[in-house]
Amino acid sequence: MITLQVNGRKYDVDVDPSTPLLWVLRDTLGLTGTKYGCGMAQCGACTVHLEGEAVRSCVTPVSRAAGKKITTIEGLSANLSHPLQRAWIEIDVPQCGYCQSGQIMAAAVLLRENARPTDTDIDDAMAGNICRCGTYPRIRRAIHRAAELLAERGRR
Amino acid sequence: MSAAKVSRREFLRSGTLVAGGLVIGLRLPALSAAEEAPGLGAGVFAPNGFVRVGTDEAVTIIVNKSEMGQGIYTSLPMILAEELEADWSRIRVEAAPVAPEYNHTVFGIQLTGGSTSVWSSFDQLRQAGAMARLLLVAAAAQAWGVEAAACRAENGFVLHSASGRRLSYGQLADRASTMPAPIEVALKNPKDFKLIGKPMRRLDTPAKTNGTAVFGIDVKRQGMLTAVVARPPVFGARVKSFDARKALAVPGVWHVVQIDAGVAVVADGFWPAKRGRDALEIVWDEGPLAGLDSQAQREQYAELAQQPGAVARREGDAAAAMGGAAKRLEAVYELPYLAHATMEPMNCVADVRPDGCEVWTGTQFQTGDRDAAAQAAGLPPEQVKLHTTLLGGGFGRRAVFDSHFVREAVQVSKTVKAPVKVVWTREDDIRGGFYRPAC
Ligand code: FES
Ligand code: FES
Repeated sequence: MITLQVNGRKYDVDVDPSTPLLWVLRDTLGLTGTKYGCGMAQCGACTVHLEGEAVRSCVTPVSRAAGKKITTIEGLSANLSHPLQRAWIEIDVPQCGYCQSGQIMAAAVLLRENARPTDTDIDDAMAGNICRCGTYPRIRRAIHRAAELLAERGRR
Repeated sequence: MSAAKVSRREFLRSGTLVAGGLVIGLRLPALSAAEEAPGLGAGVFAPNGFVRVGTDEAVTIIVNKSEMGQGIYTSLPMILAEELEADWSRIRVEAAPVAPEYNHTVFGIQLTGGSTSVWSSFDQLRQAGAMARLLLVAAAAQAWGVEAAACRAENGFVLHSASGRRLSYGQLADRASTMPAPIEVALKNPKDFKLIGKPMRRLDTPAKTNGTAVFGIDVKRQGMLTAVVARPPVFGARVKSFDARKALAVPGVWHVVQIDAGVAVVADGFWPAKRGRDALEIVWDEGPLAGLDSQAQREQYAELAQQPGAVARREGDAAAAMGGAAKRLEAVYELPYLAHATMEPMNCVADVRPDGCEVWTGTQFQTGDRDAAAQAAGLPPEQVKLHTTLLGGGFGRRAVFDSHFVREAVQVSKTVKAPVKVVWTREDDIRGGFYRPAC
């Protein structure tokens, strides 16, 4: 049995410890917001937070996540209120949408570490997240917008 | 305006221009038996296959094109809602089932492709919205005992200006569902458009921002197993023999079955299925394409390109013009085979039971896939229910003439007698999926 703490909830899962966290989230826990794109840390679709750090869940053995705090897109906010989600909606970022959970989770870590990222900061931090639909320009704008929303929130 | 009693099941063809605007004969396909099933619930107003208005004010627009990022779950509803004079904040979208009334108006089968969706659906959805609006107005007029001409529809309400009365679409839904279907409808004058031609927010963005959007790969069914298939190492290869023992020894693996596409390992989830797949020992008969070589193929194409091709159009004397040209530019363009690389790897869920088959997948080609599923299941097409999910990219990869990704899921489900999700790995698709054509 491995104990996981996902989005503030505890789960005991009976899986092989080498199973990638991605498949435990998706198949065992039914949290399908986290996506499979490549299974080899090449696309970023499976990005989640492990103790606040962005990790590729497709190459993270579940044993490494045991007992640690895991956050998935489902746990980012209860009601689309996270500044990134608000910015994403305002700017209408997604097209097919498949990559977007990973994009948002990666962006969340960037904004935590850098409250006012430049275009270059964004491009550097987001380089590992592929979007086949090519929504990059709007992702960039939305991250800037989320930074603004965060700043407003901070002022209040 | 005439509102003759005509069955909803009839196609009507007439077109007249009357004073005051364009009145057209309705050319809406009627609801099929499946859509008219009692499951609709009391009071729901479903005048045609494209829209339902509930007593709860929800306006559900049924979209017969696949959402793969192009925004069709927003643009087609805009067209219908425009004519319906619906309250945009009440719009819900539902994927159409497979039925003749949802066929592409030009291609005659149900599919999404070729950048054709908006223009080919435009007239149809305007009519569908206008028809619903007309019936709601007629229902209000009847309720108030006034002329329909004295009422108008606006933002989800029918208004009677003379008396200041108004009724919402939800309040009118029940009565509207008893009104006789019109044979003609008046379409709005495009100068009065409020939605069409305006930038609108996409309806599917919130669900694509919090993980709730359901793609084919996210479908869950009770008792569902997941399969990963060992696919041919070269195009056209066939399984000669295989040893499943190591695969079956992987915890969580339940079945190993041979299908047309290769050998499927069926397990509790993707990970054991993939591990089982990797543990399979297969002897392949690589067939005549074993020696296929990109370089040789390229040379063959170059040679073929020297031969005269089919003439699409002939105009003027190109040869003479080129001969007398002051400057001649020559260029060779080559395009390799490319994987479409949809962000969502290929997948399909099938549940074959003795009396029917259900399929869930992100497809661009509903008619073909439904028929292929029926064939693979050994059932008549009427017993196949295909549910179109969101597509994590299409690009034509999900409109394939042989419906292979649907067929294989049906084969596996039929064999193991359980709902099965077949998932392609990224490598499976890059290595052996359908490519974009080369030239
Ligand atoms: S699925 Fe993990 S990086 Fe692509
Ligand atoms: S929105 Fe389609 S892959 Fe990014």
